[in-house]
Amino acid sequence: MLFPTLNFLIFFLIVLAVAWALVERDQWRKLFLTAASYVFYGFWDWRFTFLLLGNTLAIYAVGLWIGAARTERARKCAAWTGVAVMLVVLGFFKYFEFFVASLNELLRSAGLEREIPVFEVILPVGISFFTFQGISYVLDVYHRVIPPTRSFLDLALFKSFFPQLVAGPIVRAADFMPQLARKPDVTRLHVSLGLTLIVWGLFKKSIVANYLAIDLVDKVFMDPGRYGGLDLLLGVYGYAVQIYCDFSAYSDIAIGAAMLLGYTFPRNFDQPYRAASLSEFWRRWHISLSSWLRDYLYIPIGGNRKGPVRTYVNLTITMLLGGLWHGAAWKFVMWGALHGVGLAVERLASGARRISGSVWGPKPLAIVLVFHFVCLGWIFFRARDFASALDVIRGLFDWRTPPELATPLSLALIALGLVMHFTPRDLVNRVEALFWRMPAAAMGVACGFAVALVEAFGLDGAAPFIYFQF
Amino acid sequence: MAHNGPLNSEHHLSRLMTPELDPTVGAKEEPLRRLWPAAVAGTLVLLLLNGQGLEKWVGRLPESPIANTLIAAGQEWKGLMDRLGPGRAFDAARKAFQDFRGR
Repeated sequence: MLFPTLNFLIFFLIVLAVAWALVERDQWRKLFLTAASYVFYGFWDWRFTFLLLGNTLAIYAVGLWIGAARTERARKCAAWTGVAVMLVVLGFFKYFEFFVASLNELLRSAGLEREIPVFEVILPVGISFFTFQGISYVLDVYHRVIPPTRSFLDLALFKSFFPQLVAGPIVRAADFMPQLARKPDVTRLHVSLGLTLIVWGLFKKSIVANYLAIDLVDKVFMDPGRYGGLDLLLGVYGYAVQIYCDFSAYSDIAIGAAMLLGYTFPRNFDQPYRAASLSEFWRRWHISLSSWLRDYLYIPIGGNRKGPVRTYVNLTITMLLGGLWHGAAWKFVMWGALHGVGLAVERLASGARRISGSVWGPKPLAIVLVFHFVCLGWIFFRARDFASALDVIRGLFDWRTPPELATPLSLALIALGLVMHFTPRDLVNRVEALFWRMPAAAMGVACGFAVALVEAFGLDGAAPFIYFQF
Repeated sequence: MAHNGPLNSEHHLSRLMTPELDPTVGAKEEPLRRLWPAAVAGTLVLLLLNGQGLEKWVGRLPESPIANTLIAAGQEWKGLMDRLGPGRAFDAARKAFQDFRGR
């Protein structure tokens, strides 16, 4: 069930009506929201609801095991067992085919004829997100950030809560579980901010991301050899805007939908293309993943505590694994490696020059350079495969073919997608502040008009969100 | 380990906005029943303007006597909205945008 569809709208209106009606009966409300979340997930493939349930049962048991353990060693054993179980499940569904295919290639190159049989494994949607969420729960309990929950219902709702279930933000137990312990807040603020975020997200996804994908990006990346340098450059810029508008739209709609149900999620994007350094980019892009990688991977493997060389190695490892998290393909490894090495070099340069500003130069220049470095990474991220990414990069320098794809709409959407990074960072809040002062009915009418306008301008049919594949 | 501790969850809304424009400042709790009109009005506006979407959606329902009734109702509703005007306004907006796209 995709967010910008009538299916979801009807589902959400029913959920909202029942959840609001049950606001004084908290246990029933949580039970209903959990059931609705399983229906939402089962809409895609009901068989994987058992995977979600099994995953939840596992972390519930591990949480209690950590809580009951008497020695530090036993706690550690319980925590690592939980983490290992989740990683094995994720590894099987996500990386089995990749590793077997890579191993077969290695065997062939070594002259061995026999191959390990490969069978197709269906990737459960959202598995990367709910696995990381589960690991954060286990490690937060282990590190005594939160106590292990005794309420299976609370944990089941935390794991399955439908706004964030399939594509994040990766909401941490320490952020979400305390909200389940009290009566949910649904105030006028929640309604006006939630509606604003949903409408803004629908606009970014249905108009900006979808048209850029169909009219420009898909064409360029499908057959890069057919187009000249200018079209390829527009395609790369277009993808930078598309992936931002697509993914941040999902996050906005998720945050907005949760807010209408009385729960708050942390911000997941903060105008990433205005970053003047790579480290700043990662503080603004997919914040819930980058902070997860920092707290549960980079810091535990040593962070910057073991000297400069280990810091650079740790940064590279973290980003490499971050790349691999996105998918089992060498192009994602390359994307992660580019960012990892980029962050390490940036840190090395800033240490050597002992400067407080960006190592990329004066701020406006730094923003342009960092944006183009990020675009280079996006080429590997979007291309069909590694070889195709290299074709795009080579083609960027061939300006003999006249442009075919530079339509006014594509150019306007790229410009809009970039300009929105340089508007006041609280623009959505300013719009929301207008909403908030309206009578409730007027708020609903304005929201209805805005959604209808997005629907009128949007493409027929709903394109899936890019991050659904991860 | 750096983490967002439980205390931080109290400030989630402020993490979405800047303090100077935070509308929670001075905001009063409002009974939920006063917010129902927002959901009802939004749904009505969508029904009026997007009869076409509704017609398409019911058209995709699996065949059954109930679905057939809904399909007939959806077609009737779209026809009514076209005759009254909102449906035509929706189509005109769509056409204008597609014309711009085709340039």
